[in-house]
Amino acid sequence: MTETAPLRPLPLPDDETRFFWDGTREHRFLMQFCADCKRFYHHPRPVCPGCLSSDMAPEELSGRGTVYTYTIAEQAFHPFFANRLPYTLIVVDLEEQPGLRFVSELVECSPDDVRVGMPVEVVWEHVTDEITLPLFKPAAVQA
Amino acid sequence: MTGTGRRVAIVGVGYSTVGRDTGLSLKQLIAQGAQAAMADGGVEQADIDGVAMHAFPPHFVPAYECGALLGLPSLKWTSGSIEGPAFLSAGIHAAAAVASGTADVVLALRPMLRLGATGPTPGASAAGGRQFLEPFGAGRPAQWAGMIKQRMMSEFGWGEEAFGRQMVAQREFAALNPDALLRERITLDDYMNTRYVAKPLRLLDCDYPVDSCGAVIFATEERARDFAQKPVFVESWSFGTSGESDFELAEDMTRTSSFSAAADMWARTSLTPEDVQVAGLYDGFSPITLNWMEALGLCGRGEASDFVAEGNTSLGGRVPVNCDGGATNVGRVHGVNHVAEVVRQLRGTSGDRQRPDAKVGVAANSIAAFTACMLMSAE
Ligand SMILES: [Zn+2]
Repeated sequence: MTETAPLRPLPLPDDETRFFWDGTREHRFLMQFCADCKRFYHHPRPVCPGCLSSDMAPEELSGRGTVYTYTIAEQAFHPFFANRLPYTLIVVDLEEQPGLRFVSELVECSPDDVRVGMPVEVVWEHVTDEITLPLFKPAAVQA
Repeated sequence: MTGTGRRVAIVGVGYSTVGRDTGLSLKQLIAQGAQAAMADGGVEQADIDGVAMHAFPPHFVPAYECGALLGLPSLKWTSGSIEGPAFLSAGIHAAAAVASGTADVVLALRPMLRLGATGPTPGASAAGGRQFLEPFGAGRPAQWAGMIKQRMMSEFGWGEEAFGRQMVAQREFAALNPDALLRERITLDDYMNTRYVAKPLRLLDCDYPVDSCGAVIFATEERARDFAQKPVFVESWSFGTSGESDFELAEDMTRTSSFSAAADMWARTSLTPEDVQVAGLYDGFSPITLNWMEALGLCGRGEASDFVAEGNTSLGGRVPVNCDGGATNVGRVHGVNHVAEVVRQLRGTSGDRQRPDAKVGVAANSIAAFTACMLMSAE
């Protein structure tokens, strides 16, 4: 990478989201879990959308799920992504809870091979000492 | 409108100069759009006692400032909206103000300066909810539209032709509309050969960014009888919202809040989906147009592809959709056209693209996080 190469846009952790990025740095995929109604939710927020409880804490997820939908980016809207085209964006249905979703990039998979419903698992993309991104790849064949 | 106060009519519709690189300022566009709607309806400055507008900062002029700009010094009500479902955000606020008795004649505006297809360039750091999108190269509207199109195709077993046929039909309407910007007829092959932006979303699935200001004037039935045009009555309306504010996280991408907005709209009227003869359905991206056909009950869920293929939404069809050509062809006036063309159709003034005997029409804007629809009728 040269000095002038455009940098990937970085997440700016805040008080509500810091746990998530602290977790990914340690290769742990965390989401808030409500102790009262026993459900995960994303994005992070100050109260549980199910019951308005504020009694929640980050819990680790398996990082496994299936592709709910996808799109192949054929046009870059930020200079960092211009030389990565085409790349595959997915919405992952996480296995812990119906409808629990996460938007990410699918890697280690040709854009021609992505399908709705295909199993995927998290893979860690080290970006800086502070930020590691949870990307996804096709899941290894389940035992 | 059933159970929501005074009967509301649309008495004037109009546009500023609409085009790319017009050189016009936002205030010049507002003045032109307002004057066009006033001229259409024979509405004078002294008649207007409310202004509603919808726009996003930095391209925003507060409604009270629009009033001052237009020489309307003593308004009873103003509303500036920076969120929600495109023009209908302002349009429903205006209709509700008239229905409630807060104002009698309300000018609703949607001014905008052209943004490229890219929208604003993301910054080096992504804050708030954007931190879960932009670092992955996600978060642009064309990308969530591509995700929705893909989900519709996968869930319903549709090909891209489902969307292409509607875009071909709309260009046919545009060819008949002297005010459309893109008027050259296209074939399904032409559609299938345009480039992808966010596969499967193609360039011809996207609206056409322009500088513009569209305007619609709402009034009480009593006042409407005094103006120049045959009144078009507003029968019902509703907004819809979703449990998730990110379009990418819509719980059910083939339903979304359009279904709840439509259900609420139908609950407030004695009219039914079978009564609809013409429709203006948001086409910022073509999947949204097909989603609304199903949400409004013009066809069943998963049936929009067949509904379009059978010709129902085309010229001469049972429920022609986007008879001005849609925002894909008249330019991104951001929902005003979906109301304005239905009004013209219900007046019977749409010329070569007129749906014969149109008495009931519907307009609908946006998808997923925020939606709205409005049912209209003529006597
Ligand atoms: Zn809870």
